[in-house]
Amino acid sequence: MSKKMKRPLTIEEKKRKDEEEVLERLEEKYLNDIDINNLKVYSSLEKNLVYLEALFSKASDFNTRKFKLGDEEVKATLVYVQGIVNKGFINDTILRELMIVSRNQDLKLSRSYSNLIDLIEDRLLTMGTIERRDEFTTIIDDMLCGHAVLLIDGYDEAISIPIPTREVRNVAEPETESVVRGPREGFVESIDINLSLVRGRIKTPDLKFESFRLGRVSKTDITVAYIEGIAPQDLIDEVLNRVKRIDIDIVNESGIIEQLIEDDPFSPFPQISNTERPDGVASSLNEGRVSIFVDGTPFVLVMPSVFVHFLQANEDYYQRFFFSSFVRMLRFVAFLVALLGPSVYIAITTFHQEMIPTKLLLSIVASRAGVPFPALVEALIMEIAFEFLREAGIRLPKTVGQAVSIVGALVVGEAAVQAGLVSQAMVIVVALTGIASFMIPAYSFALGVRLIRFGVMFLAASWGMFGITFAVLALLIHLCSLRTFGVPYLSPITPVDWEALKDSFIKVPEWFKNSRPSYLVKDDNQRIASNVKPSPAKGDDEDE
Amino acid sequence: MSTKKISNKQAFLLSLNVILTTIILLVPSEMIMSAGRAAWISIIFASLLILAIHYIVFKLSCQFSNQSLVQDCIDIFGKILGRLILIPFIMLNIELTILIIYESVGFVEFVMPTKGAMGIWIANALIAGYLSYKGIETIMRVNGFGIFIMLFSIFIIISTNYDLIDFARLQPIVLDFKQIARGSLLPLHWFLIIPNLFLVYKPFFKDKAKVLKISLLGNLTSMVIISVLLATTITIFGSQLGSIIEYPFYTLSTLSITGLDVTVFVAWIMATMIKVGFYYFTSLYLIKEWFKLSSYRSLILPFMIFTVSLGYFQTDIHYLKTLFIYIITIFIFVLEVPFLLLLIGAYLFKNNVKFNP
Repeated sequence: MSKKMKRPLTIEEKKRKDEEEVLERLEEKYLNDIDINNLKVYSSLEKNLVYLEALFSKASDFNTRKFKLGDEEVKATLVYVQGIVNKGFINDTILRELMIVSRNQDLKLSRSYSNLIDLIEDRLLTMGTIERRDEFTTIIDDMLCGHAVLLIDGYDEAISIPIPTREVRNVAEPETESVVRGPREGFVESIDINLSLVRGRIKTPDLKFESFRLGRVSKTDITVAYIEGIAPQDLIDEVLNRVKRIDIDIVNESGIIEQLIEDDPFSPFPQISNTERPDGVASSLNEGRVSIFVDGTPFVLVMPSVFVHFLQANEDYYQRFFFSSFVRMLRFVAFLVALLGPSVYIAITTFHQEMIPTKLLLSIVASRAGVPFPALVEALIMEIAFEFLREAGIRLPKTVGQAVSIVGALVVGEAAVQAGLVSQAMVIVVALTGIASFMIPAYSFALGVRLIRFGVMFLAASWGMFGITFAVLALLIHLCSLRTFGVPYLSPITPVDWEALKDSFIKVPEWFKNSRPSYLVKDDNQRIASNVKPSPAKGDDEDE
Repeated sequence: MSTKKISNKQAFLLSLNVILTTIILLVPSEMIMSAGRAAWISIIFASLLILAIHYIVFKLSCQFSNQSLVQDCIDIFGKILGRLILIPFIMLNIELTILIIYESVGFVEFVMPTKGAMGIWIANALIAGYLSYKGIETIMRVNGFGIFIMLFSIFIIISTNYDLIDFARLQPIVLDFKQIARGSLLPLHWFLIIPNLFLVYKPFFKDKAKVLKISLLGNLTSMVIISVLLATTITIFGSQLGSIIEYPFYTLSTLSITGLDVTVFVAWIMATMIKVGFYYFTSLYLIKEWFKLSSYRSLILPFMIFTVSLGYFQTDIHYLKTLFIYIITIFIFVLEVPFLLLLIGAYLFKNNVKFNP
């Protein structure tokens, strides 16, 4: 009787066994919560593919392209996620290099390479950046961020090739920060383009971009930008610490980061500004501040941002200082009007009629004669109606939104006055308040002012000017105690920084702004060389 | 974190606030009543007297240690006696806190007579509690704004009433020293706040040597401003009318521009409320040091309830109001001056022992 010999496994059986083994491990991972961070790449291509296919099961955009590499026809596979990689580049460059050029005669001479991966890295793939990976976690992260990954049979390493692509709108003027004079370019949704826009304006190797990914699910690319030597090191460390501390599932917009790293989340005032303008970010970085870029949004965070920053616009720096200073002071008045306008009207008409000149008082009394409500209710009706209109105008399509605003403002306002619901004076006050709030350049700051206004109105209705004083003092205390990344929020007003005050409520001529704000930059704060005040050339004076 | 939180500029503004806010609201009519046309001389007299005391006590205190006043007293007089000596001082501070809220309430009631006093007491306590909760650094910053607004309002009052000034009303100047001394009683009390407060805040000052000079300058500046305002009041109203009007400086603001009085009201009430805030902080800080507590913040709410309830009922006793000047005199000569003299003696003795062992 012949002894039954153990039959060698067929290729199919071997493949099935491999698959079973990997699936077992996968099951083990999911059931027993094994840390996949340490899961290394197998030397068997089949095992790797089974693992990846199991992981990306039911993901129709997961794609594998199997092929043979070189004359020796080593099995290799390029894996990637469709839609987020540049498919044209894969077809025309990567696969061409690997499938055709790898058979090139000259390349054969280089077969002195003991490692095929070294050969591919050194002689075949011509991209600027490629990385070698030996862990599945990094491979998966790369693939999900637009990399194609090359797996080769017999090697427990993979090559990760970054070729991300995404439909990105063109660089255009930002809608939220348009200017009469100034650059017309704004950030877009691609972090790479945004970084390049800033790099194009700050051509120094001291400009640093520290990048990492945030979001357990979204794996969003985040970059912290600063100028080494200008930005204080403790500020940089603090920003990096706060950002790296974030453990969240998804980061869709920079606003999420802002809410997770600000100093006082209960303050109505924003402590981090955001901008869509590369020139704004460049100036901020040059002042020693730090920026955070988030992939997928054109809004870049700038920190620390103090009170006066929210009343400044980029255009201020491009205009001559007389006009810039005038506009800045106007904005400050607008801030006060937006905050206190209706409250002062309520207080004066209810408690302090002696403040109003007699003729004006008579005309206000006449306009309020038919109004059945007290001034507070009247103001609330108008303010809330105004907020409705504003919100509707923003959310609706542009053309319809404008129509709603016009119809709302003109028709509803006029009808409300004619119906005797509100007085004409109140319509004027609310309209002025609305216009004043639009003058505040920072939208997030204006939102805070809008909210506070309602609280002050109630206090004014109860206590007149005393109530307003109470509210203003409470706000002042809050603002004086508020800090943003270690910098007092009311800098440079208090603590006083005379040099920085030159660029706060006013803007002095460029040649007079000698240094960067000392509340931020301690060491290298020389901004402009001395003796640069413009003057006519000697001999131009006709009298001489 | 460093405890050195008060800069020289802030110390200067602090010394301005403690004097200006109160004197502008409360003192003028009383002073004009007591000293007549020479009321402005009473201010100079009171200021110079306190200037000397302040210089001596603060210099000796700084030579002795960098610690708080409570710790100094404990080191000098021992654990029990040191604490006992401080009890009247702490009580005086609490009483002053109530008095300052009362000033503010009285002023608001004067301008807005339809409003009930209780709400104003509570509003003052809320702001003071919030301010003291935020700590000394915030108090000093807010004080900067308060003083700026108040000085601006004083400038507006004087400049807009310039054409009403008649210097003849200041004459004849009769130097009746008895009258001048009587007129200086109330300002003496308020000028004494500067040394008292600076002794309590000693650990917080960044540069004590400069702070001493700055605080003296603050005293002198307040003196000049108040003297000018008093002289302005007398040159506009005359001494008789000036002594009858309850808030003559405020009334000055009603003479020129319509509505200016309300603006001035806002400025002064703001400065007074800030002052209540740092009195809250002072009292709470002293209590904290006295009991060796880790933080004063847990005391804020009980202290708010205590000051409002005590102050509201205490000031509702009309009879006490008629004795106000006598109460102040007792404060000065029984509590404040003896306490400072005791401290001067103790510091002198201890410094002698320390430097000449």
